[in-house]
Amino acid sequence: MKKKKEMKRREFIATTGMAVGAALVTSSIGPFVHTTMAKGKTLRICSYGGSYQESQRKAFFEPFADKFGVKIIETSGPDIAKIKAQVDNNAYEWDLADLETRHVARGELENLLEPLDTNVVDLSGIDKKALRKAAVGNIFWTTSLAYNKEALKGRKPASSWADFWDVKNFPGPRALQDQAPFNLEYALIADGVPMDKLYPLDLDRAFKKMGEIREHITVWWKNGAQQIQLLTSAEVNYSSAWNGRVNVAQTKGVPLEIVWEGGCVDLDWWCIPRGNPNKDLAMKFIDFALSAERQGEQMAKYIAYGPTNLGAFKYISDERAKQLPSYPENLKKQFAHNADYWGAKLAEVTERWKLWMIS
Amino acid sequence: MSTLIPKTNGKNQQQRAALRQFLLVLPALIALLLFFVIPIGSIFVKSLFDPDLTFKHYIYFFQNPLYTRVLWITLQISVLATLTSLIIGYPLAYVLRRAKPTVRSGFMMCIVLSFIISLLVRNYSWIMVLQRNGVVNMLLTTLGIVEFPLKMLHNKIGVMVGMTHIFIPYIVFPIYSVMTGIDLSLEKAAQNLGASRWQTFWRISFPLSLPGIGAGALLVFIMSIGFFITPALLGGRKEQMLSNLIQIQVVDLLNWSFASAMSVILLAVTLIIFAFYNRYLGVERLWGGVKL
Amino acid sequence: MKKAAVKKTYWHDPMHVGWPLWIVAGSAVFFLIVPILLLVVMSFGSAEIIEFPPSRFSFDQYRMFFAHPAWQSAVSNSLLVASLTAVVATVLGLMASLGLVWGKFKGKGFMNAFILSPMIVPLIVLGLAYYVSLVKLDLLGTRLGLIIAYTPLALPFTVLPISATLRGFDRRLEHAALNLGANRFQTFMKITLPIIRPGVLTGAIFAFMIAFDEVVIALFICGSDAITLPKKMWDVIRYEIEPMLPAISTLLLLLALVVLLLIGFLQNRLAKRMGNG
Repeated sequence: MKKKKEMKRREFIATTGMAVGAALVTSSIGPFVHTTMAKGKTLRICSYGGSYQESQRKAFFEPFADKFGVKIIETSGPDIAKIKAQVDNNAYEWDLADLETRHVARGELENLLEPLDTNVVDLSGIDKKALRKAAVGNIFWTTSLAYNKEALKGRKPASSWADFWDVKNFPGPRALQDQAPFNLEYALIADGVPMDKLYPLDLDRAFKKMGEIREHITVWWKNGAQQIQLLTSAEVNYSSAWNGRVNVAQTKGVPLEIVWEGGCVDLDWWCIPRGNPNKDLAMKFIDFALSAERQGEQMAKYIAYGPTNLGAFKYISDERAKQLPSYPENLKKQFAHNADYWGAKLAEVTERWKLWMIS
Repeated sequence: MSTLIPKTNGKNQQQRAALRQFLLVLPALIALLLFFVIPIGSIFVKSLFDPDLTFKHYIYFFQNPLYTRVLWITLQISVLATLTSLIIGYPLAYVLRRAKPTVRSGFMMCIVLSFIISLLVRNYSWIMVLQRNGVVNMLLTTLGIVEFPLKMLHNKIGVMVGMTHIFIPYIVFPIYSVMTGIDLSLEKAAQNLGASRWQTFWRISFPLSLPGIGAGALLVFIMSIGFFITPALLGGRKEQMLSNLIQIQVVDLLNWSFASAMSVILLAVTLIIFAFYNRYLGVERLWGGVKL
Repeated sequence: MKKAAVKKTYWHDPMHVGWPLWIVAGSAVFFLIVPILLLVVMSFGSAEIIEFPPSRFSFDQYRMFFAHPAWQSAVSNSLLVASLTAVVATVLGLMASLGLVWGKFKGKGFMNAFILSPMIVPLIVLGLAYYVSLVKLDLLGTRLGLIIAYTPLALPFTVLPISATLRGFDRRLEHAALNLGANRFQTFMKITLPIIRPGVLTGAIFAFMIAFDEVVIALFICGSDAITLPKKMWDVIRYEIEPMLPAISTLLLLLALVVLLLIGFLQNRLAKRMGNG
């Protein structure tokens, strides 16, 4: 009798288990392969996630979806390698991507990006620095010297890259990004090269100057979280950092400061993989997102980057504008990241950089 | 006893049995062929055709001092990581084998749970623990053991801590598995014959557990050759791994043919090591199957 | 030379472990769980910045996680892909082990090595390989693509423990059952499987873990339709701090603990029942 009862119970558990399992598998998750996208009414956008993508969501994606009745599918982690895979195989995962300059430069060299149709996209108000054949800049962002006020314990903070190199008067652990771009420019600036004469880079001089500081760099940071964490936890006194993240930390009460002097102003770009059948809708979106009003809203309310549409400043308060990289006062003190130089030279300079790092 | 063994009709039934068993293995073989051999093959092809047949990427790899030096660093770090994992993992396996069931389950659970913390989060925990004003340094300085914080992060120490932490389960399980196959009465016999504990261990238990050590060390060494995330986050400027360079070629530089060539070279290195292992310890002893 | 006739009895007991060894093993286990403890503590701290020790106690991180469908979707994607990979790898691995351990056919050694070969391929090589080949099948960025990539990776980790357990299994038990009239399937389900269950479970757990926590291949394969938890963490950490991570990890730990305890409990019950049956 007991055996029968136990058998029944066991079978019951087994069948319920399978039923629950089947329900879970079929219900919550969805298709295992790509579902065919309804062209013209869906837009797949790939950006950087986190608070940046959230600012885009609030300022662009949701208003665009509402106004034009389009469904926007977001994803993150854009890179040119995936775009190459998509273009080479005519299998598109993204209709629109937000790319870094180095990826845009490479993409243009390998003809992976769709040129913009100026009939659809109004580029009239856009800053010249943000115009390229197959991409248009959507934000100005800066990488510059940053520090934690409290970590300095009352000492005078460094106010230039020359100060950063001066370990005697501005002591303490330091951090820099583990890559050649930006750092080599900082080294040249610290060595006295005027900002408008940086490119093409005198590599020997730059590496020599880097050699002076190398042993004083405690951390070579690899990603965005690290740089802010290092400053926030006072693990280092000084580091190069992205102004947007510094600003976000500031809003959370962390006493960080950024130095505009000698900063490298760079852009992010809207790009369309070449040959994407959905490109018309993508361009319509770009046109929408570049408008002064939309950019103004993004920068004023959501994230501290600089608009590429100069008319956007109309919508941004003066106090807020001072925090942005493309505010004229700030812009004067910075140099522009040269995409064409790095597009051509990244491979060989990176190899030289890596070899130098392990020597 | 022989009446319990089903009677065979000679060769026919044996052949049928062999076929049946082969068919059992077939699905796995097909899966591997489709989903493993073909993708790897495409990398081979990509490394040699750019777009026409060329060996230039291989030649470039060996001519440029960066790549050979980074390969060397990769091997060094892998050897070090394997050794530290062994030093910590072997005693753990030894104790696991002899512990009471409840203690053993508890330890096992800790090992399995350490598995499920994502790699990335794990590394950030270690950063919290090892950094200049991290947990360990705070303890050491407040207790007065050291005057200045120790540098345990962004150098080899950090990398070893991070990698060992990840590798311990992979090294403990093979050793433990082999140890469970060792009859403990052998040890008892040895001690009855007058051997000391150390002698028993060194001349009986340890040699018998060698297949497990070999298997675990092989697995961990090969895993660490391909590592780049942990060394990147926890290491310093000198801890550069080859996989990192491959990733840069793939993602930033779009030089997939060169990346493929580097991958093939990396694979060749692991194959050579595996061949050495096979020669001296034998593949069939991987993870058990100790015959006395 | 005659040794003293009386020796303490525990000295002969091979199961005895001296206290120095206990300290070493205990330290090793402590080392293993240090990050776990840290994460659990941090998960109850602020959701604004990552700090240790946390300056205040709050459930903010958990609240944030439950309010973010993208993270929940990443977690469920990972759970789904890992579970299915574990199932496929365990079934294939079980069948292959049965064939390889007991089979008498040519080429067995080679097949054994072949099945284990994914273990020796560095992950980045696999990642690139799948990237280049899956894109042609339009399987990049899909869950199926992930399962396809993870199954060969997990297969050696199921075959190894299952084979090891099988080798210790006494086939005469099977022969006895067959002689008593059971067919092959019944014999397998009622005799063989229960005994080799520990090996099967070990394999399944390893397969699950490997697929669940895999980062490198996920970086290559994940896309809009299928984002796994490691990929999402990577993306976020690239650009900013994600303070929710300790909470997510703690929740996963809880899940793992529950599953492990359940498995242990079920095993105990089944063992007892078999003892009575």
